[in-house]
Amino acid sequence: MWKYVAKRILMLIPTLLVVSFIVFWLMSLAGDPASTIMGDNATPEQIEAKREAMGLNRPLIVRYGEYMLNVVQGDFGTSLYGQNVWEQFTNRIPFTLMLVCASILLTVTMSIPLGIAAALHRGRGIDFLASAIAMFGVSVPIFWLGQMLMILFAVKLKVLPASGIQQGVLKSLILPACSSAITAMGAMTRMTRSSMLDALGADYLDTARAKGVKQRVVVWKHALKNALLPIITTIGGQFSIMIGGGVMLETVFAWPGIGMLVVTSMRSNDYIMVTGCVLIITILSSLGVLLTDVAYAFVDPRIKAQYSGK
Amino acid sequence: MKKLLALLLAVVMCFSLVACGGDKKDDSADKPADSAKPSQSQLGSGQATTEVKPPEATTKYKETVYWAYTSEPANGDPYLRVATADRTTTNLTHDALCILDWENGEALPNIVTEWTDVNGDGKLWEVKMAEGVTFHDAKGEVYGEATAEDIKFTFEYAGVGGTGGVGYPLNVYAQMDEIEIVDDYTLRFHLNTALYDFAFYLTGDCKLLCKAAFDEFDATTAAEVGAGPYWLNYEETMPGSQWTYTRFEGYWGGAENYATKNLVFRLIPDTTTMDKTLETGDIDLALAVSAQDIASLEAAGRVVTSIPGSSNTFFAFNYHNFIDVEDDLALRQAIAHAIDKQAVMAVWYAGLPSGSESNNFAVTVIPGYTEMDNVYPYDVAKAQEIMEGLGYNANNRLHIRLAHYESYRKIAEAVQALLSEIYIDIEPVLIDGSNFASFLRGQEGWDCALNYASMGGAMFYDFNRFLHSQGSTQPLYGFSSPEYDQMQADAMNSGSFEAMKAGFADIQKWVMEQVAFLPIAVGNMNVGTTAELEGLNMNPNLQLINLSTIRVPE
Repeated sequence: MWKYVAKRILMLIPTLLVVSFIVFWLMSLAGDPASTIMGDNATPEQIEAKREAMGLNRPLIVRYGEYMLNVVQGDFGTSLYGQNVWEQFTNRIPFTLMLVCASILLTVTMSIPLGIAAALHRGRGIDFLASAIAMFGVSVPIFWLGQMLMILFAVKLKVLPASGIQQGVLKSLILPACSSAITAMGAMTRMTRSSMLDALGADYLDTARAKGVKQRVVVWKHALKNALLPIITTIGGQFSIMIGGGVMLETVFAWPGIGMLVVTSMRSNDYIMVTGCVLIITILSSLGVLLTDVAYAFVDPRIKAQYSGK
Repeated sequence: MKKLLALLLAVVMCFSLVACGGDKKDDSADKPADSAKPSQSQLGSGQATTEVKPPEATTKYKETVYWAYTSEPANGDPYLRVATADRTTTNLTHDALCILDWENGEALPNIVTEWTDVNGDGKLWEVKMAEGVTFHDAKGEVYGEATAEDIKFTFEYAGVGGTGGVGYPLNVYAQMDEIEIVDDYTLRFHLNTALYDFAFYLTGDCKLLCKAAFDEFDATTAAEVGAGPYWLNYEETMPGSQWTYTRFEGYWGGAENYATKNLVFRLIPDTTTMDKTLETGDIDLALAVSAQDIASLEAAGRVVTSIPGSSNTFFAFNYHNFIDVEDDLALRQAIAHAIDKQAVMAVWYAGLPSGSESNNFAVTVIPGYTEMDNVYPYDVAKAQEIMEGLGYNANNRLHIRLAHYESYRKIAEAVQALLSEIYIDIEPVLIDGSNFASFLRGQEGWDCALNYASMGGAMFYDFNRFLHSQGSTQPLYGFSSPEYDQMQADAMNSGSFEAMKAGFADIQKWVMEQVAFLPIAVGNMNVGTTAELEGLNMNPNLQLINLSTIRVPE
């Protein structure tokens, strides 16, 4: 088992190197940080002096190498405006994780029962209802949904705050988490439904039923357990998507997480902050994938057996 | 099954209707023509003033007022700013040496109380400062008293080429040969250039730093020590979400004039969300509300105050490689005649009160600004006549590459349509905004460009950088004219501030006659507040809105 985990961690290293280089390279194309810092009024000589002072005249690969050397020592750098990248990130990540966890919890709570119900009543009303809800979730843009919920619950009904966390984190969490969960539950509901349909049609369940096992036990103990693998994959995928893709959601709701940090940093051309954040998000997303794989191994005895040498 | 689907559709429709639908009062938002006539947001309305009445002693005010903007300050350093938020927040914590009265085009005393042109040649200025100016520390306690040393230090640290190497330096430092301290409260500035408007260089962004703090702390911490009426309360601040500014009880100008104890800034990156949050009443003031939300905000009982800002959008020419025509001034005049600014604004602003027509390369907040009519009013026939005189006609059209970035796509399209009437085919060249200046500097691949400039500060500051042959935008547009250089030199050496203003008025007219740059529109600043909020001090000069006096009666 540990061999499996170690192998997955080792596979992360080249991924991170490639991703970090791409991010670093792309950010180097996104404008001249020296010009940004010096403003419109600076002369070319002042800009050039700043560029030199910032080491921006050196080859990209040299700058990247130096950056990564610092990163492996835990130094993600200082932003163009004097903020420590790691410190900023650690200040914001709890909010992003809180939002992601709440969204996933809501998604799982709503979509797994809905998917199971759809599978159990295939072709009937509840199945169509689940499909319609899933389709709505998949189709609706998250920023639009967020703003509609905001107008409804904050502006019209005045029961929830429109943005920020000033009126209490839990109360403020409801709208962004619901928006995220509604859009995420489409994929999860459809996945649960199809996995359950596959599992429910399996021969061993016929055997179980023939042996007189109750339908509740057949569904929840035998079918669901076997249908879990793709569902776990979807949850892992959602975790990564929500961590990295929270930019839109956090911006709409002024939620002070990583997404908002990235947006505000991009607006001020702070390439150091953006690069650092994207890199850390990549690491976290990769860890999300790793956790999914490990969970796989726990749920699927075949993987466990493959690495235990049995 | 059908019932179920119908029910589901009905639920979704109800949800959308409730969420999208507005009150009947909001209907004006759907009528661009009407909403282009601002109601409470009349330009220059009563609220938009630099003069604010002091709070009433008998009125009880809310202890905390919330305000929001779409970007947050980088930190508390007034010289490391990146956005409007930095200027607005450091206006609270740091007092400038002088105050700009943009309405009357005057510099008013503040920390600096008197300034005298010692020899009458604009090159030696004696400056006296107020006694008893106090700095606050990071806990809101009195840190020390300001002296002439602090003023000298501010220029030496934050000036161009100063020790601080700051992002947005005080440019006037380059014109200073020496800063002489006469006594604790008097200094003499020895300049290498005649600056009859010297006091204007002490306004706005010229915020006093504390020398002793720099001796004691690191630069970032030290730069946060200011002499403003509020201090940045880090204990109550959460970067990325909210910044709390608490009243400095030891403020030298009298803390009793500042009725609000805590001014809490909230970061709301999305404009629509910010406007909706103002509508809910969770914030008392929103800087830079979207023009399209004005009608709905006013319908919800909020007040929107609009004034022309400092951002001038213009049509520029590539003087490094301008089109090879017999008479390039005539070509520029033809373009000026062919561009219907109202039509461009109608397309760009979609009928909303987002900006005003600009007929002067200077903006209203520049001291000495002169109101003038459009020198080359929209006249297609006249423009065609000029073009025909240059040898162009329907069979021989001129090809112009117009560089612009995404924000100006609509203007580019409007200009393309307008100029096609006068035998000019515009080829839009879309450039990424962050690389736009670099692209222009390259001098190749474009003939004309759409851009904007935030203007303000001293009289010749912006004209010098755009129009003088040694100006800082020379590498971008390359405008160079010995005639202009001479006119500017004459005005600056004219012997008095009034003569300088007269010279500047002539120059403004000359620039428009020469179509050196073709201004199109000045963007409005729209500030949204609750109806109860008082004391808003709007100063569009580089968006130096002063929020220190805002208050909300309980």
